[in-house]
Amino acid sequence: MMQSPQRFDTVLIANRGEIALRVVRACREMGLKTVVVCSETDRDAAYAASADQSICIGPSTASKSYLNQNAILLAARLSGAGAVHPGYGFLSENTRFSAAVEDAGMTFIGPDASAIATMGDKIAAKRAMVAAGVPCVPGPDTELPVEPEAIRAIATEIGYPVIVKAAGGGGGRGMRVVLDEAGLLESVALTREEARKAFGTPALYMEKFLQHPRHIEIQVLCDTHGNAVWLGHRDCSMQRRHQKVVEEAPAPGISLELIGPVGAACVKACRQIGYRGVGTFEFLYEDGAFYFIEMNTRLQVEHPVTEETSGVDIVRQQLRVAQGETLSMGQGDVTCTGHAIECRINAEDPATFMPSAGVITTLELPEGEGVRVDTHVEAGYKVSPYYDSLIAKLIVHGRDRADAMQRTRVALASFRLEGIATNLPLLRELFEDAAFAEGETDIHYLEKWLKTRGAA
Amino acid sequence: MTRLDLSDPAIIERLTAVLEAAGVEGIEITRPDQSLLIRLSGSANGSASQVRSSRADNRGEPVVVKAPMAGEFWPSDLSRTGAPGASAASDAVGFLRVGPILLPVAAGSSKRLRRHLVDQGTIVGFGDPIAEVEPEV
Repeated sequence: MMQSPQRFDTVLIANRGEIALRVVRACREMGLKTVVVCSETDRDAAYAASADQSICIGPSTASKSYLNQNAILLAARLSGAGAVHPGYGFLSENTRFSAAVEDAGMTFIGPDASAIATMGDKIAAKRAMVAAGVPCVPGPDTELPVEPEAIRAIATEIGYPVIVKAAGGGGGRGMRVVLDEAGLLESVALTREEARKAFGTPALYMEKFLQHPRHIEIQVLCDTHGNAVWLGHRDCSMQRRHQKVVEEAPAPGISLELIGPVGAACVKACRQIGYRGVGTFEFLYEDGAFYFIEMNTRLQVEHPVTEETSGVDIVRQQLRVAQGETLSMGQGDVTCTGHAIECRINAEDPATFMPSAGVITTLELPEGEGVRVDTHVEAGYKVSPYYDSLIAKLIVHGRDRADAMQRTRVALASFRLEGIATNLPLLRELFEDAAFAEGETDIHYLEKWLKTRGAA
Repeated sequence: MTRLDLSDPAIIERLTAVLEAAGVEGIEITRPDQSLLIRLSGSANGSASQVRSSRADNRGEPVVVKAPMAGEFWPSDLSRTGAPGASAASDAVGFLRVGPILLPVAAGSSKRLRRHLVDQGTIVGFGDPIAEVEPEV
């Protein structure tokens, strides 16, 4: 039975950077007090001071600060917080942390531990999706056996090429493509050993390997009273080494008639597993068909593109759901308009992709109709080498994709950030690419494009 | 083998839980660089632990004692707060309180409390300066 949520008036944000600031803003708009935990590196950052209270919980190393569950729980107790928002990354999909927060009598702003565990185990997740009618990649929803003959039989039935994945993996880690039977058993053995070391479980599963898919996502929002909606879809195919670079909503060339039944199946799956809060169903899309790959049980970096098209403030909805409120909208109330694009501005060399640390000497953010920048940095901010290189998100909303692309080009051109290297030059160049402008490029497109310009 | 940081709140909390579970009243761990003393009082105030870090002294120079974790600061001896030259009681310049846990913050051996840098009841974070101490003459 789902635990009944408690009202709270203070939210501790167990994260840093732009998402910490984003949550602070949403809380303030709702009249909630905020506590931001920070490491020694972030102690003097302006974004930390924007919260009602900031508490330094440890040294710069993430394992001793943002991943230190005990330190975060102590800070929550110290500040009298009634809820913990995990943001994305760090502890946002950590079963033990979700359970520990609730055991300490606070509300975890996200799904409960069992839902995170179900979706964290890719075999269990696939089984749950099959039960709800969500389309999955061909392959059994059971753990791969150890007997060589049985492994060969499964691969033959699926048809080569296949992909062997770690049940505890995700985000592009713990997987290996097998082109034919000759390399099958060795690939399984290697992946099994990697899975054992990296994820603590040697469990594997096997699926059909799709060769030219796009990465499509469906955003869901669920309350604790059995209500759930999906807020449209996103295309996150523009990736480098499984890291998204540009995201957009809606996915170009995919009609509502085609994706509507998939969205409805995602909502059904949420109801069946008693999911609460926001979540994202990730699919591969090829030849007009969707294949579920995983569910992210947290807020996504790219949530703003859905906010811009749906008009729904996803973080505020998260907070409302966590307070036990009923969703204020039904599926019929969700209407997506126009087209939104998000560019991740990273502190990295645009040619080598090496992280760039240092002081931002100049910062001029683009402005204008439909232009939004989510960032925690300012002129004088010192970019640390300790954390993810994401320093800002440029989000642009237009009346259609062509309009959004053009507005993004203008916004990128006026975005001035000096003192450190960023990927802004790469983004400016990418938005001049004809195939990207046309749309519907697959997940391998960016890497191929980078190779042709000699920068991969 | 990785060396445990005896000032890490998570380590202290884990050790405290193990001691409680085992019914042991306390433990003292001493190494060349750090020592840790945990005593379980069994009272409503819960457990108390004390961390000492021994490092090279800058003789004659005042030394700033920083908070080893986040907590609500309680001076060691309120009557001596702000009194230059007063001895730090039991080597502790104060305590950090989080719920039932009270963590004494050590001044270091042969140190005198010069002044507290934060008021009683202030919530301090990891690394915040909380007191100045100076070598005992």
